[in-house]
Amino acid sequence: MTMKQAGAELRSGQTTCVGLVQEALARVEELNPKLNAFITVTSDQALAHARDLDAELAAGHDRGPLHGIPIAHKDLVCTNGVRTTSGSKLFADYVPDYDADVVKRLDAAGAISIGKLGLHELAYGVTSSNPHFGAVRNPWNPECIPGGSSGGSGAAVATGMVFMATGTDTGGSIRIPAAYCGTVGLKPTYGLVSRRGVRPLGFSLDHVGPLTRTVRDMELTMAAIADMREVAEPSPIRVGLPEGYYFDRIDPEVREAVLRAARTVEVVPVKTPDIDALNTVGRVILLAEASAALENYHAQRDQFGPDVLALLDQGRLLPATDYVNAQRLRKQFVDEFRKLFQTIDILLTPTLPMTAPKIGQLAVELAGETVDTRLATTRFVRGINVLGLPALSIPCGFSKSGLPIGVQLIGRAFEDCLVMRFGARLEASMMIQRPGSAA
Amino acid sequence: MEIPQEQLDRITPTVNAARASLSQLVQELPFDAESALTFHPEGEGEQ
Repeated sequence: MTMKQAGAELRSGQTTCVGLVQEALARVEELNPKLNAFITVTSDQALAHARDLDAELAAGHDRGPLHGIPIAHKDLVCTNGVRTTSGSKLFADYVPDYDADVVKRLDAAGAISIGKLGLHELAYGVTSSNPHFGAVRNPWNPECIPGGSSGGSGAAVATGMVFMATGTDTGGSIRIPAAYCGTVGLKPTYGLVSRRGVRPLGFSLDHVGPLTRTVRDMELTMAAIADMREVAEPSPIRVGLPEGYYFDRIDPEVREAVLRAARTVEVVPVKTPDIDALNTVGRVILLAEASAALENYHAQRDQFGPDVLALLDQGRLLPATDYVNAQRLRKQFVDEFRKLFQTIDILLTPTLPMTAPKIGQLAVELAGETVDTRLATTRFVRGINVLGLPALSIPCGFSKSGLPIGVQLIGRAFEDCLVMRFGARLEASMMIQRPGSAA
Repeated sequence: MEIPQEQLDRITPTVNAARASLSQLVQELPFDAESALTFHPEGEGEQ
């Protein structure tokens, strides 16, 4: 069921806000022991909130499309009175006394949070195999990762535990779980959704955004959490399909699914700037910014998992000159992409070069080469954070083994509306056959 | 805390490769290229 359908049932009296929350909690009770998507479930609070919202509806006060809709927050988004761990031992008992801006806006729109979702430790990684709170599992195959860092968000949305979940994306952390779990995920334009009250990882790379089941639900959510800019729709929408890099080292099943999606619309071949170089810039900026963000905690070495600690150590050893030069190069890449987007409106790429790897799998085979799983996973997504452009991942098919595949749509800054409008059309034109349901 | 060698073996080469690649890219950067590190003297608010 989508948010829109749930809203229709709510307003026709077929269900209530309490009913929607009870259904969501029943799904959590059934599936969370298997998937470990939630760190904290706030059942009593959610039911009390639902009762209030039912009373409001009965009194004629309708807050709009999100009224009574069960959602959940990634556990680095501050929630007043509710533990916010950031997936870290350091913050295992941290209870904020305020709500993040995105929580306030969703609350005002009538959404009901039912809890906090698991993530890669401190959002610094792509597996969500958390050493302190356990591994989050992929709903299509529990032996696989859901992706990260917003892994709990992907798993919870894909299985219908919630209609929408918040996520954050510093180097792909919304789009990766969206693609691995078969949901829609939007990394909005940098700064479009407020980061206030969300634990930072990379100050100039962090984006807050939602994961939903459909693009229409994404549009409804974005209208609630951001001041969207309306964009006049170009006719026709010019869609660029990149040559080379995005299709070189890629699983053939992923390539075929993405090209099949591209064939449902009119595309023009384009040459992109050097994405490997752009990823390098992103990697250097993140190493420095993440170590700076966590500098106060660095001495508490036994509080970190080994992968995160190794990255933090490396970031502290990085010369300041490297960070400055990466920022100089960043400006040049922004200009190069601005030129590319004078010739197209949307860039269509695979979100990831492969389907979800197994939990603990350190390397993958792509085009006869052995590649580090983390590097392969971030290859098509990391650079877009350097540019700050909106990027939407939507499901475009399934592998023979039943794992989801995602296609990425990138647009011009603050043209998130156009990206979503085009995404909705692409979603409708693909008519994906799902091999059963998640979990 | 000691970081397991396996983690170091994965991360160190990645960082070294990134630094080497960055150093090469910078050589091609015009000396007067405008930087993303410039700032607005009147300040800029976060949305």
